[in-house]
Amino acid sequence: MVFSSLVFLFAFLPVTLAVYYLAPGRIKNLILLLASLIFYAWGEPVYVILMMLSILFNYFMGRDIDFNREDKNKKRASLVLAVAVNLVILGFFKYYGFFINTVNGILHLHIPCRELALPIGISFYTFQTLSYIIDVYRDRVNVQKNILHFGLYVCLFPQLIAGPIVKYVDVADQIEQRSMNLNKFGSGMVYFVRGLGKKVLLANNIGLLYDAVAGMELSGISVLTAWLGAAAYTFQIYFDFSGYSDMAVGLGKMLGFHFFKNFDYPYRSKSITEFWRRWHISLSTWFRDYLYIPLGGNRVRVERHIFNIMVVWLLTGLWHGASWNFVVWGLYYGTLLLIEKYITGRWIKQLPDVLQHVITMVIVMIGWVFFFSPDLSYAVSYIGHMFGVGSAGIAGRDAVYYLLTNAVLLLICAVGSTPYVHQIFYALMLNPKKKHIYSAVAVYAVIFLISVSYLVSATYNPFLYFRF
Amino acid sequence: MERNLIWIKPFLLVCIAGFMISMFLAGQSDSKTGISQMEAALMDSGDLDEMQKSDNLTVKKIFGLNAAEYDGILFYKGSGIMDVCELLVVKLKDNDQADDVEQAIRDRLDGQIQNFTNYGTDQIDLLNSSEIKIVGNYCFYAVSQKASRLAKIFSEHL
Repeated sequence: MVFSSLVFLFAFLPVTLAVYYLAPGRIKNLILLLASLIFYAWGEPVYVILMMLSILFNYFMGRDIDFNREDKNKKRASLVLAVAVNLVILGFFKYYGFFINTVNGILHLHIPCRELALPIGISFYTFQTLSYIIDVYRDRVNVQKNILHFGLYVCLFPQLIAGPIVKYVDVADQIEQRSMNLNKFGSGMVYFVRGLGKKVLLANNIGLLYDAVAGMELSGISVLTAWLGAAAYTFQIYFDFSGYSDMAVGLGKMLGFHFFKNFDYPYRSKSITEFWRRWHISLSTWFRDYLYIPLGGNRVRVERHIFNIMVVWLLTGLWHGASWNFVVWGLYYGTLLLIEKYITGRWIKQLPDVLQHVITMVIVMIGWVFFFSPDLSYAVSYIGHMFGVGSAGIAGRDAVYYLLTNAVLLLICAVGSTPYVHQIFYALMLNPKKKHIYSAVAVYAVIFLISVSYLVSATYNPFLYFRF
Repeated sequence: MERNLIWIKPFLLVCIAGFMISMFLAGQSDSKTGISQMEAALMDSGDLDEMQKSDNLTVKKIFGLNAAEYDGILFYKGSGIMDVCELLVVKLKDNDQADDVEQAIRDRLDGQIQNFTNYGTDQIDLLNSSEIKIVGNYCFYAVSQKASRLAKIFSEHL
C-alpha cells in the first residue's frame, strides 16, 4: 500500500487514526503495530513473515548484547552475528540476482537465475535494525525489553517502506511516551497534504515528460531533448521521494511522533558536498554514523580518507540498487566529493553563486542519468547525447514541442524546489499575526482535492523509491 | 529470559534460513499449474472481458514464438487499433527457453512504445506500467489498466 492511493487515503488512514485516538493510551502501540503489519501485508503478505523474523531476531540479539555487556568478546561476537545475519538477509533478497548475473558475465557461465521478489522496504528496515543493534553495543541506548515497542520501531507504517531511516536513539523515548495534540495533528496534516501534492501533482506529471523522452529511440534524441529528459527526471525523483518523506513526517506527527526531515531543498545547493547534506539526509547520516566515522572519517591520512570516502559511496550506490549503474553512480559521487575537497573546493567558492549553483545542478543531473538508465551503456550514450555526441542535432521538433508544452510545469517544479514558495506562503498565510489561517486551510484543501481527483482518474502513479 | 537466549538464537537462525530457502525454491521451482487452469483463473477475475483470445498464428506474428515449442501459450488482445491491452502467458517446456521468451516480450513492448510515442499518451502510460514476470517455467506479460492485478492472480496460481 502506498500513501498516494485511494485505499490508503479513504480507508486505511481514517480507520487507523480513529481507532488509534479512541483507544486507551496503553494499547495505542499495539494498535499501531497491528495497523503497520496490515499496511505492509497489503501488497506482499508473505514478506510479513520475514519482517517478523527480523524483528524477533534483532530483539533477542539486542538482549543478548546487553546480557554480555561485561564480557567484551561475547558482546562483540553477538554484534558480529547480528550484523552479519541482517546483511545476509538483505544481500540474499536484494543482490542474489545481481551476483549471479555478474558471475555469469565474468565467467561466461549460465547459472540459472529467476526472479526473487524484493521485500518492500527491506533496505530501510534493515538499516533501522542495524542502527539499534550497533547503538545497544555502543551503550548509546538502553536495550528495549518490550518486544511490542521494538516491533513498532521497526515496522511503524509511516516510515516503513521508504524512510526516512529513523535511528532508534531518535525515537526510543517517543515509543514509550509521546504527546498528541490538535496543533501537532494539524501540522502533520499540512506536511501530509504538501507531500501528497508534491507526489501526485508535480512528480507524476513531470514524470510523463521523462517517460516520453525515455520512450524515444536514443538515436533520435537531440541535445535539448536529452537535457529536458534529465531535467524532468531530476524533478520527478525529488518531488516523488521528498513528497513521500513529507507524507511520512506528517503521518508521524499525526500519530504523535517527531521524525527529522529527510530533504532540505537539495537543488538550491552550491556544491556536491552541500547537496548531500540536503538530499536523503537520513541515509547520509546513517552512513556517516555507522560506517564513515568508524572507518576513521577524515581524521586520517589522505590516502586512508580517500579509501573511506570511496567505500562509503560504493556502498551508498549499492544500497540504492543491485546494478552496476548504481555502483558507478556511487563512485561518481565519491570521486566528485574528493575532487571538491582536495582540488576544486577553494576556488569554486570564489565563483559567483549562480555559477556554483549551475555547476552543481549539471553534475546532479548527470548523476541521475546513471540512476534512470536501464544499463551502463545506455547511461554513457545518454550523457553523450546531452553534450552533442551522437545526438540528432541541438534541438529537434520534438524538443521544441516538449519544451513548449511543459515550460510552465518545469517552471513550477524549479520554483517549487526552492524554499521561497513555502517562505512566501508562510509569510502571507500561516504567520499567526496575519490571521489568514482559514485561507491557508482552503489552499491545502484544494491541493488535497485536486490530488485526489488526479488519483481517481490517472492510471499513472508510480513510486520511484519503492524498488530501493 | 536471558537464559533462554541460548536456544532462541539458533532457533531463529534456523527459521530465517528456512524462510530464505523456501522463498528461493518457490522462485526457482517449476509450477505444476496447467495453462488451461491458469487461463481459467485469469478469466474468473473478469479483467480479460475487454480482450479477445488470439490464435497461435497471431502469437507467431507478434512475438515470433512458435507455440509448438512450448508447453502452452495463452494470448489475449484488445481489438481496437489504438488498443494496446494484451496478455501473454507462456508455459515453458524447458527453463532455458525463458530468455528467448523474455526477449520476445521486451521487443514487443519496445516496439509498442515506439509506435505510440508522441501521440498516444494513454497508451504510453499503460505500456509503461506493463507487468513482466518470469517465474520458474512460466512467463507472464500484461498491458492493461489491471496489469498488476492480473500479475497478482498469475503469481497466486503458480
